[in-house]
Amino acid sequence: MLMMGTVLSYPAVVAADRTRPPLPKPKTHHVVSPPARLALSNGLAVRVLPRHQVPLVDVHVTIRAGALQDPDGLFGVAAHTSSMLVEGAGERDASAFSEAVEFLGARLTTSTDYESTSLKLRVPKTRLEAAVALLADALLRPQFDVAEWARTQKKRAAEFQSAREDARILSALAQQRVLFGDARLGFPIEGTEASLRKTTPVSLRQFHRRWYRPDLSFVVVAGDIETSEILPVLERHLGSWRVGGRLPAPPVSQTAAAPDPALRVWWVDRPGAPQSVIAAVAHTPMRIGTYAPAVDVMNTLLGGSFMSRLNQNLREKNQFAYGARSRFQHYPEGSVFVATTAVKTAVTAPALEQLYAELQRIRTWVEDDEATRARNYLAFSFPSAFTTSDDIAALWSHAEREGIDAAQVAAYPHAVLAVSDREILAAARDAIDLSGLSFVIVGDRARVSEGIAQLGLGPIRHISLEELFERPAR
Amino acid sequence: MRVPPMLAVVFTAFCVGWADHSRATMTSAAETAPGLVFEFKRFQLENGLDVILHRDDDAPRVSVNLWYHVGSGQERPGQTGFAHLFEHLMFEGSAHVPEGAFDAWLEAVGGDNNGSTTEDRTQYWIDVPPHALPLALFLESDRMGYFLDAMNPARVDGQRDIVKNERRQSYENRPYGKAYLARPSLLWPPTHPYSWPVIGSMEDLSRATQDDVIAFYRSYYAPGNASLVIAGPIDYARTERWVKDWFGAFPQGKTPPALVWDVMPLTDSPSVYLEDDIQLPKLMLGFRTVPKYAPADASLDVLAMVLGEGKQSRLYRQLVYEQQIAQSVDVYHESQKYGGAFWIEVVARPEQSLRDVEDAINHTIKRLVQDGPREEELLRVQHQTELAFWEAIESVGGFGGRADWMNQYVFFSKEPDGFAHDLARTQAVSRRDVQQAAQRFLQAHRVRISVVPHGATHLTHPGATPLDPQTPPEREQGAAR
Repeated sequence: MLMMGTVLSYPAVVAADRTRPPLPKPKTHHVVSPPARLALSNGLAVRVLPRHQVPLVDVHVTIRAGALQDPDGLFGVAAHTSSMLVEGAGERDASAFSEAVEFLGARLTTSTDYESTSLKLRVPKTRLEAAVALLADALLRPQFDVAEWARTQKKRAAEFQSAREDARILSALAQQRVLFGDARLGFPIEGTEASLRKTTPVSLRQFHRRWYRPDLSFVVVAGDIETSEILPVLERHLGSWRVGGRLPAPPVSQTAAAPDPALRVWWVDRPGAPQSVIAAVAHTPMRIGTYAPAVDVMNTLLGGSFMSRLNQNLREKNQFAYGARSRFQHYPEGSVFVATTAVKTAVTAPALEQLYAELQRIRTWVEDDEATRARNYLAFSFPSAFTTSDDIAALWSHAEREGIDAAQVAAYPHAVLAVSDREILAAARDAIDLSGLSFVIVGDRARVSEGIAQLGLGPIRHISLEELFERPAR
Repeated sequence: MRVPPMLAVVFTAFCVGWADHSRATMTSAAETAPGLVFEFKRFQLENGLDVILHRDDDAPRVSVNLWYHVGSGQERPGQTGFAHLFEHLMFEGSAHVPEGAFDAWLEAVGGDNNGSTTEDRTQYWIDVPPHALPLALFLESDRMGYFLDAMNPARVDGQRDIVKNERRQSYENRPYGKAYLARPSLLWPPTHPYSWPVIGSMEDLSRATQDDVIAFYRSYYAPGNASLVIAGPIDYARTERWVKDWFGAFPQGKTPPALVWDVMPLTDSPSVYLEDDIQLPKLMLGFRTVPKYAPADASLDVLAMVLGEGKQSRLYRQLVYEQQIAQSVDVYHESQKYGGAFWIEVVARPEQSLRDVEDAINHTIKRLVQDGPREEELLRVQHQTELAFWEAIESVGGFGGRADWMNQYVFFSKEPDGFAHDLARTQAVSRRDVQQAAQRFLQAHRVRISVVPHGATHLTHPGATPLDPQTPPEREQGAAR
């Protein structure tokens, strides 16, 4: 029996004595440097973290507006707005713009999630200023050209079409629908095919004018640059960004019919599929947020690492799957729990049974060695979150968005190590609501639905692809 | 791969040898990119293990990266998928490491690990906090020296089933996945080491026995057939002592004979189609090229970028932007030890004829052959390459980290510190080089694979034959020696 918490020191030279492993005493050695906190003349918040390992600079701009700010009936506008920022901006049309970015050997990407929009620039330091100028064009002066939007619209429509054949995408979409019904969160960030057809350059321009404001945005810079160097560059290119009028009101709360909680099993049929993609999902009774030590340790032990119970059970012990994972996803309204795996079709029912059993088991019992391992893994692998300047810019952007201060980030590994076994069990009971758990299966219904019915989890509801991709008319 | 990584890893296509360029260009690259030159210490144990230590005190963790110079290319007929199955077994314990302890001990110190198998080699990495380096060396050495002591048929069965699940997840239940299983046998003659997929066939995986495991280990998993890179905040003298202590006592073992292979051009253009559970038709064109280091290798890397890297690349611009007949374009040159492949993959728009897509590709290639790339196109590719190099060296560990690249340079060129040379090699490619590579390799015979939705065979080429991924068609005999 191995005691993971036991301290086994090793001599300076090990003469290949293999009778016991050289398990070192764990220690935290990583020092988290907080970013410098500054602002441009227009009030735009800037955070800077110099790091000189390679001559690259990462500039991440975050705007606090995402899919949740989509107008009702026009889902996807936030995402389409951000993707159009780089399809013509400033004096350059789409083609000239991408040519300018690519010629610099820079990468400029845009992305939108439910809560925010990001522009991420990565460029060798020697070509930084020219690249920041292009980023500023995209952010402040996008063209939203009619012809370019028509082009993009066609491409997005084809993406919707191909998503229908990807079991993992179907599972993700069905999970959102089961959790959030026909509210905004129940649909993809990109919206629906119907809303895509309705969206015009005018909708995009309006969204941009309304939500892209310096007082709803911030910039995080990490990489081979000093604060004194980057600040004038940002001032030159983003200092003229002005606030237009009052802060927009938050979008009208979209009251939506939540799915019937009595329906426990949801099915997306894929005749002939060699695997079933299985997910167990539930709302958490409280909003958890990132850097929640007890919940994080519990989830590491349950499904957040290779040695986690879900992975060991479904992969190593039963060989049902290539892997199994669990995680918490956070939204302003609350957090959700998701456990997923993809299993051989023939074992869909027993795999679901095992997955459910692990969710029950973690409420009642945890062993010392696995708890220690989970705490240590989370705490001592924490430095790897700061490996690249891109990692660092992303980490501090997330912290800024969530209002997490540097002290909390720095204290996180220590807080993780202090989580007790009792707190792990309590976190499982508090954060995984078994009574509200739903199961989503994407697989061959004819071959396995009988086995699933015999598990007695509750009635089974079939979701058609049409339902999954379109919002019901009101 | 043993475990799907949490983050997608992109292996850039440009990293290859530099045998085709003069010393002068190498020096100039080292001067213009001094950050690409790394210090290292190299020594060889008496048993033949090639060891490279690279100190970087800024890295948060130490990476132990071990390459065994064996891949699916060494598998025998009826044994496909074995090298990768073996990779899985390496995590299941050894004489002094009980089953499950490999991961348990590493997680308990905050370490991560994984492995991967290609046609050429099998790679293992362990990333740990600096003070846990002895544990990583103990684990890595124990499975090198004492693997068989812990092996039994039940472990083979267990990992066999997990690998089959990996095959289902990564190929069978993924859009277009089945076409990738069929590709190798279409591009290469049946005796070529790359003519079957690394993941192997379900039948062959079912056949693998404990005796096969023992034979494979004895043939290929010897210190003399491996190279070890340790990178991060390390002390050279102490690490060298540890390596000698943990790895030094193993016998040298056999040196497996190198495969010898002459790459012959394709002698016809096989055209196949596959009806699949997909909505958007996809065309894949495959061309045989050259192994790593061969004179045209770097030109082909640059050619792939001119054609497919970014929105300003020729094929993206023509097919996606101008003609709007395609959804995405993916062009890459995959050169390895015993041959190279150049792939053009295009996902077309719904209901789009793949014949028209290929016509557009051919037209684009023809123009490139006629006029060559413009000077600014070449400069763009050079800048994009530079970014990719900085990104490749940014972290020391994991898939595609600095330690992994050093092992790759050792494998292909014997020199661990190949970054600056490699960049110089790519930067020295001229317009004429790209033009000639396009003419020689892309205006030749090709493999053509069309994947279409069920019932949409009218989108394929006339005369294309249906593809059964389980029984690929017979191809011409190759020239293995």
